[in-house]
Amino acid sequence: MPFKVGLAQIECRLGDVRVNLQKHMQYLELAKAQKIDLLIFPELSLTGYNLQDAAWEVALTLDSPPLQALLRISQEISFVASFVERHDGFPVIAAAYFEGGQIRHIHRKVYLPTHGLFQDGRDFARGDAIRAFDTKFGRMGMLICRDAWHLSSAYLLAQDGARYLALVNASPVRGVRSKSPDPDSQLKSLFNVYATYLNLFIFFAHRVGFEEGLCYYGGSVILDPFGRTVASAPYFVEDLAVGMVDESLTERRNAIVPLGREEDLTLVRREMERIAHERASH
Amino acid sequence: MNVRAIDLTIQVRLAEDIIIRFLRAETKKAGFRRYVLGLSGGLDSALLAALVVAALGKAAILPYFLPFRSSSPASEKDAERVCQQLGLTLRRIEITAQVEAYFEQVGEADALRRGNKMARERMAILFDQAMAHQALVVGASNKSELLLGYGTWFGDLAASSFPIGDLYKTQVRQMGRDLQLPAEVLEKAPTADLWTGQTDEGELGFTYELADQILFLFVEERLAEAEIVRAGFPPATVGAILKRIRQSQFKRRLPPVCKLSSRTVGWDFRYLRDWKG
Repeated sequence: MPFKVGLAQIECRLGDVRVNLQKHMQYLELAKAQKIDLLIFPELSLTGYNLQDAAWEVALTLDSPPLQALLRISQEISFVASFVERHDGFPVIAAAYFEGGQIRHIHRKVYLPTHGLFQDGRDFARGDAIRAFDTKFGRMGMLICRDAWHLSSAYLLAQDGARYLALVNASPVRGVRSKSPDPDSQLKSLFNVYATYLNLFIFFAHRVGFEEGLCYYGGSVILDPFGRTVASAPYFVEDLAVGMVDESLTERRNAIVPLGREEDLTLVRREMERIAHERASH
Repeated sequence: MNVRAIDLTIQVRLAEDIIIRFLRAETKKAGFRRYVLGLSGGLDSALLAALVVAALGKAAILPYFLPFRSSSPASEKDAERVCQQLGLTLRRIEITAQVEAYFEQVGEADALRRGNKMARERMAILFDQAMAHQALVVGASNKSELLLGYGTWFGDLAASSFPIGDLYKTQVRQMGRDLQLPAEVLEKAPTADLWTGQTDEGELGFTYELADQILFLFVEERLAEAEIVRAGFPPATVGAILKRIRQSQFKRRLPPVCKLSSRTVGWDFRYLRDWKG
């Protein structure tokens, strides 16, 4: 059955979980009113991104009141929200899938950009798993921002059976020399490849607003497995982009180009083990 | 050797859009509605005035012309031209009396000291006016100036934000043309107007057009000095520019705090200004 997906392209207030939680509730209510089945919030939607030392101060355990409030409303609507989780004693960047009053899956950001303006590796511990999980819509995978720049992440999720890929993002503008703010067009090209060659629906939820002089550019988008845009949000402004997702397209795509059937996991594993072995012995 | 021309053209409407949104966001966060701006008659402050008007309207900007007796009359005329075009009223506060009073007490000083004193006098006035009008002081420094350290520390380099601080001078010109600033302002030689006949390019010893290409190769493209020279740029100019960048790094940082504890301002007390704990 086709279902309705929304991308909550919101501004986040840095370090203010209370205000951001209110915005989540506002968008969740709006989504319910529009009969949206699944709503995706961007990276660190409950806290803002460039937290630095505040990462420790806003870190939540899974029994904390803000997450309890989200669990309650997840009885009525499925959604992905992102926050700093206190996990094994350290803050991690987490994206959680809320459904039916439960957190069905937590993805913890694996690839922490730590260069240039990015300081994730300084402030957060890294996740150690990339796994698909079951939802009432079918199997899904989540990646957080830089995770999706590593081609193996989406590949693993696709091989793990994901049909839907939720990409939660917080990416500041770092170039204005081409028509779209850098790095938007490169990322969209990459997502298009994921959609068409891994047979995935892409739910790219990006934030807007400023943190000091950093401008998060928005441009959230839903792509189908043919790489077509199902719904999109404009640059720079808050928006709720809504699109119908017809999961039967996955099979149609398979019927046209059966890449999933051709894929040889045994070969990939063998070669990866060989490469890892050879690297270790250098 | 032929110099490989580096194209610094930007998508100017996209950049304007972002800066305009930035100007709005900054006032909102600070709880203010207005900006105080020193309007010199030059291109940078004229562009900034136009962007503030585009972001928040005419009522949101208080433009000040702060002349010293030796300031060029052409500067004032150009500042007025900009105000006329944007529908603004220029506020004029002369700084001659207080600057002269100071140097009468301490004795004469060279042009650089006098210029720095003027820049800091202007800064003190702008911050006072900002307090009086519940406004933010917006700084007009561009990327070329910030990198070359071509500005007075705690003078024109003191501001609440630098909206055009990531645009090279040549990109400022591109945006100024797009916003149709007055031709006189677009075409004049850049000057700090701290003494008669001063021009930026005369004092620096190279043009912004050349400097911006070298800065871009060093900053964005991360080329080493030798590689920039190999690309065809004059070694003396490349050397002079990179030396200026290194020597002015102190102007781009908080003053160093001597660390004595486990957590120290400037070292490991790390929060953005936007932090709402």
